Amino acid sequence: MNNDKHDTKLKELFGRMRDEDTASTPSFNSTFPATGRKYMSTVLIWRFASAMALFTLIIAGPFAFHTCSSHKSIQVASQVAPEKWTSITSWEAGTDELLSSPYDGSNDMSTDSLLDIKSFTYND
Amino acid sequence: MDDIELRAQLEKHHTASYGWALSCCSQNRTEAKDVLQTAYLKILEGRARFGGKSTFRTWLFSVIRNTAADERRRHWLRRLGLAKFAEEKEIESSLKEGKSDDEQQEVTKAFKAALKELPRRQQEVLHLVFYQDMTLEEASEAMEVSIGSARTHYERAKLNLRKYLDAQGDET
Repeated sequence: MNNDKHDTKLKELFGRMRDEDTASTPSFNSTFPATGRKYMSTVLIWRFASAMALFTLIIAGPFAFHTCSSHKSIQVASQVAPEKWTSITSWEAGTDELLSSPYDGSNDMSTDSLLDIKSFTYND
Repeated sequence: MDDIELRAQLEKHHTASYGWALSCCSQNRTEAKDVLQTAYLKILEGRARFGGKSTFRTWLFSVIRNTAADERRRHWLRRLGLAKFAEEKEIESSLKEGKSDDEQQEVTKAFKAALKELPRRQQEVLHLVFYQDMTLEEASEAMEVSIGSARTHYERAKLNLRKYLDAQGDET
């Protein structure tokens, strides 16, 4: 019984709310065309974005290709250079063995004979 | 359903949809109008399609409800609590714009305030049943919950409002 009373009261209160809202409802024609405009603006945005993407592809495509090909030649050059470096680093001097062998003052050098010839020639 | 039929259906339910949008937007008129436009846009673009599983009105209400929920999530101001202040201002101004007399305005204002104290689901089920004259089954479809859940929300909402309704009963 009390529940029915509450239901009736709720119906009455919500009814008042509905009357107020109905009076202030924006017309369908003022809401729907706005939706149409929003829809159109969304469509236009997408079309503009697609056109820009296509334009960028056309303009930037050849430039990107050119950049890519010049980048390739740099890559080739950088691939060649290490080989040179490799050959230099693996180079060994004829006197390298002197650095590793201990020196006690008695070791004959392979060039000692030349020194003797020079001094001989000079004294003459 | 073609565009012309769709438009006719939307126009038929426009007033009820606006009332429902208001309920979903805590009585904020500007937000309700925006939500309604976005919901119409979703339908127009085919992002929301009527499958015929329920009535058109029930389906439309669930689209509006989901749109309002999306907007709420997006609205960062709401998270900061500033929007609550704006909403209160909005309700006050909208009540001032109304044509009904002062006493009736006060009653409606107090009722809206009492409703706002309820959890969202409870507000929704009461609105759908008493404002939109839906059955609990239809309300559950619009809210996208089970009938059992809708019934629970309905009973709890009435229980929570009992104190307010008893006070109203004493006054009248």
